[in-house]
Amino acid sequence: MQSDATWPITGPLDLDRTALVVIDMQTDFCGPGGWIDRLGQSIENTRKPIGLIAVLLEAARSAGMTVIHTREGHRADLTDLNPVKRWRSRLHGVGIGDESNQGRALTRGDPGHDIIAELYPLPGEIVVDKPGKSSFHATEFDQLLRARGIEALIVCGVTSDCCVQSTIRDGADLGYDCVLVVDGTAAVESANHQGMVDVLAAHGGRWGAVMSSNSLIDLIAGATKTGAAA
Amino acid sequence: MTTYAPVASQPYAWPFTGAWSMADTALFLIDFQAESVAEIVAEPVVAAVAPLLAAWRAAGGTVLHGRRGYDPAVGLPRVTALRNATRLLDRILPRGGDGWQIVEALAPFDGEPVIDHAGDNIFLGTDLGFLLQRQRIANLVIAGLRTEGAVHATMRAANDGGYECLLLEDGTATDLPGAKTAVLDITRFGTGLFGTTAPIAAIKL
Repeated sequence: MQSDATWPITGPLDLDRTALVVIDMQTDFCGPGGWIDRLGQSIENTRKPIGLIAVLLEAARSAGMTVIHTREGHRADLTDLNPVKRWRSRLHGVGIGDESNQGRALTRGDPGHDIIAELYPLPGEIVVDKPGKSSFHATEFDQLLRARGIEALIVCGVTSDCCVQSTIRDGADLGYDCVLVVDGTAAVESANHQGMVDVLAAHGGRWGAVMSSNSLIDLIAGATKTGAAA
Repeated sequence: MTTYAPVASQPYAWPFTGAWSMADTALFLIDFQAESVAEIVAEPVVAAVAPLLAAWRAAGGTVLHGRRGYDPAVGLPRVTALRNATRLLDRILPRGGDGWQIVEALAPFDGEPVIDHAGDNIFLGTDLGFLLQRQRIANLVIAGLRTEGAVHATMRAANDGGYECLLLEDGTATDLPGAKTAVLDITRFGTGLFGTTAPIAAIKL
């Protein structure tokens, strides 16, 4: 499903003012032996968009766009892990930050916390470590975007119903022109993914547009650089 | 101060600490404004929330009110303004304009904080987080409009901030088909991705 919202809504795509944001493509969410896998849930869905995200990443890199990767996780001393989040994760079966023979889930420095090899950041690409679902919560994300003069966000990654949606919603509230890459995102539960996509596409795209990776790659290929951020 | 037993909510009995009181819990009524209530036909929701509001006040609890709208002297961010202008329903209204006021049955009392906000996430650009921190509020009981709009965005942000949230199932509504079910399912996913949900009747004061 695509929304009928125009994107970018402010005019032609300006590659210097647009960032590709790849949310939480970490082993803990979409790799074997990661947190989701250890919870006994399927990573089939969260692995599905890897190929299309890789193609989109290549298009963004070739066009010289700003690329930002995010990682959800906590400081090794867990001072930024709030008690309710920790309690719920233990109830689920694998407590965030708890020691185990498979490492510590969603903990910075642990192998499961890192980004999967297929989508690993290149040197010079920005990596934002975040303790919450929204990339804007308790991070430098907003400041980094402003420093780069970024006004529009192409958002992909996992999971669609959680961190991807929180980031798009806050981005929209803060005035960024957001587009969800509908085939570049997924949720653990397909029903939650579809419900979230339907909500984001409603009202002509209340929080931004919903587009396919192919449409976005075409847009990027046809866009120009203004040199605004050069 | 009276300590209350956990609320029968899904997917677990709320709050996770096992007890709550009026010292650490606030009732947060989000955007029960005239135009939204009329568009959604949410009068039954207003009627269902009113007795809880009265009981909460009688118990001496903290009540917060969200009120969406933009300062007409300032306007909205450019992108938001463009999208807002194309929408027929769920429009962000100018403060003070027709349909912007909170409906009479849930109108704020003197001394109850009203948090004016232009977007969905009421924590952004407001004193909401500061107020909660100053009053040492740990838990939020949430009702409001629209379920997939300010209610869900604010609950997401509250959850990131470590607040233990309970969304009242019959205290929230939307006119977007399917959205309420989707939001409730996502909220409760796993062991409560963004908190728990319960009917208003589950709150026993």
